[in-house]
Amino acid sequence: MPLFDSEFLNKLEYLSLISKRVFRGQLLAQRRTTQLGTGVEFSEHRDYSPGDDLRYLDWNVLARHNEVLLKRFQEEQDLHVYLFLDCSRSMSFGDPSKFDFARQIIAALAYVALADLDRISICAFAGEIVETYPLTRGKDCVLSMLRFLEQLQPTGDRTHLKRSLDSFLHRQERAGLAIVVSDLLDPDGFREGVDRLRFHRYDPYLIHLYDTQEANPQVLGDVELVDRETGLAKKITVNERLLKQYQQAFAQFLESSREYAARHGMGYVQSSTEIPFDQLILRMMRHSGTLA
Amino acid sequence: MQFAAPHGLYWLLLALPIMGFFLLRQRRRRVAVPSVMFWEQVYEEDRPRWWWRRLRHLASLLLQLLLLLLLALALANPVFSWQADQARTVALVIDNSASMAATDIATSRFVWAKREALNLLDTLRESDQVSVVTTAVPQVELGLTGHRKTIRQTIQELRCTDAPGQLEQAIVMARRLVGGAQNGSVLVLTDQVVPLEEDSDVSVMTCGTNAGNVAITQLQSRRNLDDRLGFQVFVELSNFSDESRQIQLEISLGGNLLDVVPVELVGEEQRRLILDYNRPEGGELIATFELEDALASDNRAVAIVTPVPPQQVVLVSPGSLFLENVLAAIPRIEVVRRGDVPPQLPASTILILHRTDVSEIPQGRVMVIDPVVDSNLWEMDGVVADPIVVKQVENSPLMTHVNLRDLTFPGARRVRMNDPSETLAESLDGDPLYLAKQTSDRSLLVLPVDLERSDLPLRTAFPILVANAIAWFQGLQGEMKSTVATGEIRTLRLPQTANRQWQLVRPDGTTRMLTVGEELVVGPLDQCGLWMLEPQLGESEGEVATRIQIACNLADSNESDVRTVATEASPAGFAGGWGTRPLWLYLVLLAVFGSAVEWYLYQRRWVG
Repeated sequence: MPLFDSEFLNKLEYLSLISKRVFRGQLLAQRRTTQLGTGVEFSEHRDYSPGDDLRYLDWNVLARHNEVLLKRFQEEQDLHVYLFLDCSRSMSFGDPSKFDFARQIIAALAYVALADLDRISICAFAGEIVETYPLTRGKDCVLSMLRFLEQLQPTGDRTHLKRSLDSFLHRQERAGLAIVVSDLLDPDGFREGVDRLRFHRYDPYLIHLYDTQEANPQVLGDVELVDRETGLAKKITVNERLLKQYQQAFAQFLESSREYAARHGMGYVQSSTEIPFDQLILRMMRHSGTLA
Repeated sequence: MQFAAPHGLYWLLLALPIMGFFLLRQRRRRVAVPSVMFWEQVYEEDRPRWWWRRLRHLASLLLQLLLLLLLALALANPVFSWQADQARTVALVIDNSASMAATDIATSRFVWAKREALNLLDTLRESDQVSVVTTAVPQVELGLTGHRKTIRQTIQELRCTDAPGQLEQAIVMARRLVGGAQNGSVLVLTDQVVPLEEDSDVSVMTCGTNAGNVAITQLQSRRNLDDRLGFQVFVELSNFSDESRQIQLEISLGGNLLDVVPVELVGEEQRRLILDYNRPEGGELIATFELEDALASDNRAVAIVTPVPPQQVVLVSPGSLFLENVLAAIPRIEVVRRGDVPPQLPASTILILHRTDVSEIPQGRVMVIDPVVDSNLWEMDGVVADPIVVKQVENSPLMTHVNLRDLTFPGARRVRMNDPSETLAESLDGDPLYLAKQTSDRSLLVLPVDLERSDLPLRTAFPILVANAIAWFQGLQGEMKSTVATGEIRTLRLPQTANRQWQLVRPDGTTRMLTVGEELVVGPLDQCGLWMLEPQLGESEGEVATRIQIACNLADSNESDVRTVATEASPAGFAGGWGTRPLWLYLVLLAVFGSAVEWYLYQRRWVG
């Protein structure tokens, strides 16, 4: 069964319409840049300095009050949306797998952004950037974007978000919205990588995915646990107490991730792969609408 | 050590599949997880000690093999030689006499005795043998056996009787039972004081308190000799306590209250009462009183009052004023005067032939006065030469209170009986002047005296003689049916009937069929109340059912005096110690304990 079938595309169109009509594009903020320039929307006055372009001199003010002021306009710029997809092997866990779920989310967000005339770029990462879909604008790129997503596989090395994002930042792309879709199972911690985005004036948004079997594993007794990412096996005897401790540790991990995002005022959505991806997108829209 | 069931060791073969499962279980199940990051985190926090981690599976295997070994040994039922050497033989003598029903201790003394016996049974070893002996009617309730269930059931089914205890005989019986056995001993559970010799193999556990008791220690009733409609009741009341007691003695006859007699008994008093009543009817006489004392069975006693039934008498006579007046004066007599002998008479009817020329004397109850012709039973032989009574039978009920000596019967006829008969009065020449003959089908009295010419009708002896004759015909010679004390044996002479089947009905209503001859031995009577013997008649036999009643009371001061002193504790040496149970039971217990340990280890592995 193809990942992006016609029904999926219908859902994307629906989400796009919802984004525009109900939430007025608040998902991706459809925000203006703070940069002042040669736009058409008046922003403010400032004192004239020699060398300023006389075309922007406010002659009316000069005539009435004899003050030399320069009109400034808000420059309209496209929003750059960077979508980071975790392609590590841990994303292949679950049914449906976290990776498929993540690709659907990425596709939906990219579709909405392209429909909103924003620029998008998709970066598949694991231990480092695996593959990149370059900055693109326009709805006519949807199909190529979907093809790009379809050919991705969760076969990367163990997750290393900091290294991946470092290599992304070295490209010196224009700052924008950086949406990371991952299970955040980074042995070195995901926070440092996300902090790098913040420091470089990106606007990070974390979509934290997990599987219910991951949160509440049904395993007891003498087992050999095999790490999907590293392939390492660990012999362990799981009893109910240990299982409970694991559940507490995982719940604590989810909670600490949420607290981290809230503390730094970044967008954060946490979801299991049980719910349909479009519901998650709608939840994100509502969340953004509430914040707005 | 030997094994009673060595084939049980075959179960050890189960060790092979256990080992197989253990080896299979060494291969761990592989489970793929996204990351072992969190597993390592929690595992490091709760890392088990390495030696235990390595050994616990092996320990579990060894434990399972040990459990299997224990169970297989248990099934093989091992027996040590010392167990056989220490086997004991115990005779339990349980007092089930009347005093054991005393309720001065919890529930009753008998319940205590049974409970103690069962407790003792729990402490005996498997190889011990036990016998149960009771004392009321000393008998072996259960021979020596080691089957606990049977012993327990026997003890539980024991019942307390109302009979007096015969403790010494029971102990002798018990000692004989264990006499030849190894490690034999006797344990007596009683409320009586048992004198014991030193180094005796008899141990005694005594129960009871110094509780007081008031008892009816005797009850008898009888018809008055001079007034057959009246009867007397003899009651003996005893107060077995230091305190005076007031009671209301209720006397009832046939369910109807006759009298209530208030009695105050001072401490240790024994009071005898004679109470007179006037009732023709008879039945069950009950004397009882309400009092909260230690023993209830002696607060009630029963006796039997003989009823005076209405009697039909057919008088065939040419006319005798004396005779008619005498018959009319006897209570509950219905006289029918006729001129001839009726062809058919009921068997209970008394026929009096006075100066009649009947030559064929009918069967049944017949009194012939002044016969004039020969008959099928006698021949007339003129008149008596010297018709003065010189000799009379004293101990016959027919002659009770009758004195005919020196009385002259002029014109008395000499009668010679064809068959032997009893001469009640005879003349100087030895001629019979009053004859009695009783066979299975005939009761005959012959008085060959001319009432018109003799002084007999003018004497007080005449109505008494006729009344005695009527009573003799009625079979009421024994007007006193004495009560029987519990524990006694009564020999009964049964009516001569064709049937041999009798039903014995106990006071509690339970019945038992008896096949008897002419005599029946009933007893020992171990229950207070009214015992009954009822003939089981066939439909075609048409016989008259005659029920025999026996009133039975606890007329025993020793049993009613329930005061005693209990011993402190059970005798030492009866508890069997740890060897009271067979070895297989301990093996099973060990296996259960091992299972609990294995369960704990399992829980440690799976629950933590």
